[in-house]
Amino acid sequence: MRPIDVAKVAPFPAAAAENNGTADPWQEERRLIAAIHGGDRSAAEEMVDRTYAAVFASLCRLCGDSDLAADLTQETYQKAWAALPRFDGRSQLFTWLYRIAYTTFLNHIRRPRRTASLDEDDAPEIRDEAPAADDVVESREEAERLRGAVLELPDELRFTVTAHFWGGLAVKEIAAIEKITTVGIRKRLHKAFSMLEAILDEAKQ
Amino acid sequence: MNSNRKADLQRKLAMTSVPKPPAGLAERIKSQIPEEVGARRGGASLFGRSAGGRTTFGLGIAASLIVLISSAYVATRLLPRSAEPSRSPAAISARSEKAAAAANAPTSRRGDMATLPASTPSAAVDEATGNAEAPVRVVAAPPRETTVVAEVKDAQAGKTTQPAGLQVADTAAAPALAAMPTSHMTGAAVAAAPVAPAAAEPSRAAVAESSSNSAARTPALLKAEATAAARTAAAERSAAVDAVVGGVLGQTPARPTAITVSSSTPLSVAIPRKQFGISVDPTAVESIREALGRQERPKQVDVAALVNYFAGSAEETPAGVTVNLEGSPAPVSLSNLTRLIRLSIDTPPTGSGIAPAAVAKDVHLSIVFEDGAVASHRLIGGNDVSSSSEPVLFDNTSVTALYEVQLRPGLRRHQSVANVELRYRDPRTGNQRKIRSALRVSDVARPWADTSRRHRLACLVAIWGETLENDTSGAEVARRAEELARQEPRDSKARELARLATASSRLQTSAPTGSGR
Repeated sequence: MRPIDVAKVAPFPAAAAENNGTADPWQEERRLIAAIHGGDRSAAEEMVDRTYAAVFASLCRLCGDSDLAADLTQETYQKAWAALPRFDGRSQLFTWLYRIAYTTFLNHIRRPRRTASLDEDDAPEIRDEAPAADDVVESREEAERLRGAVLELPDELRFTVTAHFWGGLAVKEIAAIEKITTVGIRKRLHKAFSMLEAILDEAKQ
Repeated sequence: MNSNRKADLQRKLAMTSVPKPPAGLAERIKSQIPEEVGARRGGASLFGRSAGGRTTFGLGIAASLIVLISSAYVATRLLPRSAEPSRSPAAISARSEKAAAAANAPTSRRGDMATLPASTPSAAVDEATGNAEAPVRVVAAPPRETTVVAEVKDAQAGKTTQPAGLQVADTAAAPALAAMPTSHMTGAAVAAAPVAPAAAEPSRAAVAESSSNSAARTPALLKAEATAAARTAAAERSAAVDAVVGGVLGQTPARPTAITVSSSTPLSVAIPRKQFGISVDPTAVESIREALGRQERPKQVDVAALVNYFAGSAEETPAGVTVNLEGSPAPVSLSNLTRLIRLSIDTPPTGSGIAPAAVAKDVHLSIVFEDGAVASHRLIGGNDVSSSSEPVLFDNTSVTALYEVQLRPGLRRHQSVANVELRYRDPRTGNQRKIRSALRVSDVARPWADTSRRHRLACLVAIWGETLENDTSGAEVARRAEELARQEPRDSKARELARLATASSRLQTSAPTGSGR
């Protein structure tokens, strides 16, 4: 199975519109949201088709485990369905979904482990056949070190880095979410790089 | 930080690749799309606020409106009947013809309320035969759909027909019935409800007797008179109704039920035996109670019906038609690859009060077990039903099926095990709706103790029911049911299961009196 990049599996309305040179990249998304608010199930399914791969990719990068990422993706959408009536469309749909996914991920790593052990006698044998996420970076270990370093960042820096590099959000979008200027986001990114370097260097020693 | 290092970090972060989403992830997400996706809340919209601005005041207003509308409905539909003046001969004749037409109508079709006349022919016939219309009072109505019909035998054709909806509550009974929010009395579901043969036969004989005295009359009049006689007799024997309905339904679960009315016998209760091909016979548990009370092993154990009785309804009142799918290992030691999967379909209460409200029509249920994950499966206590249909689902209905599934070894957590699809037509809007639900390997790996009470009770009673003949698990089931009962003292079902399982475990293993099914 060949790993594919998030941008290739998730043609967001905005990106697709830019590529096609269409006038209003938001129009299609607004139509979709309006249809979902009207109770159109097929519109909701279309929303899933457009976004789930990107949400999965973001979560996969956050948690480093494709099985867990799939679980969290489902959980993200469950929360999204519940919150959808309150989505006002002021941000991009994926931006909103990414925020939910990120919170879902944080909740997961913070919640006490209460999951059923699959090592019990009566549990079926589970075999993870998913490909390792190390085809692009030099090695799986290095990718894991980088992911671990990102997760060690303070909350605001971690969100900024993951949203920008792993969620594919533009600086402007992150600034809108965080309610700060784009300059503030760029400062955060700069600070995050410095801290990542320090963390990675420390890990090498 | 030098620029090369920064660029290197940026490159690594940006190029972190991810695997392709697992197959079926999109379908699983879609299966969880709620029925009312994206719908803004009605209570808040009363004030033109956004859905986020919910207030309890808004909900209170909405509740008041519902009560007001319900009261208006009852007042407009029922009170005018009780205040209706005496009828003219022409009206009587017309209504008699209508009654005859209704009696002649074929009844093999299963209850579609729209196909049945809204008014009862019995009032006109009462006057034609000189019988005063007397109110019928049904006090010990079952908690859910209860339907009342008159079963009339065509004296000439010799066939039994079920005229549409004898509305026993249309006069003085209205207030009493209005006080019973979950009782339902129309003929709509009756055609769908198979009549118990033992209950039907005396009825037919009685109606034939009443008809033979009027041999010179037209068949239409005979039918109409028989209907009237049935109605009058039912009125006279309201106490018998209390006794029969209370005696049978007071100890049985809430299920759609038909009460058969005849001219010479007390009302008898005919109970639908199956829904979606799954036994829901509420008398099954009664026969077991009686057998264990006599310290005998039950002659017949309808395990599917037991599962339905003890699984009961959803723990939370559903907002719409819901499909609930849950799985776990068995509570007692079976194969390590054995899983019990519960499928429950629940419909919400509509609050319509007297009549059963159809909440879904042309309902089609299908369950598909994935060959790649499931080696074998069976419906506990019945023949496997992979696909089944019901013409109508009424409000406040619950049906549960429990499957025993053998998983294949070496499965992945996200592999799909079972997919359920429920398609139906919304009777209000006519729109087709579809509910899909899926179970994965990880979903059925949860320990039994972590599952819902409904699932745990269903599993326990299934194991107990299947081994009731030789009682290999009575004591274990009793112990676990007692644990459940201790956790929730108000759970009468768990207490009852514990009591029955304890009783069965004390029986001599050499005393079976029949075979299970």
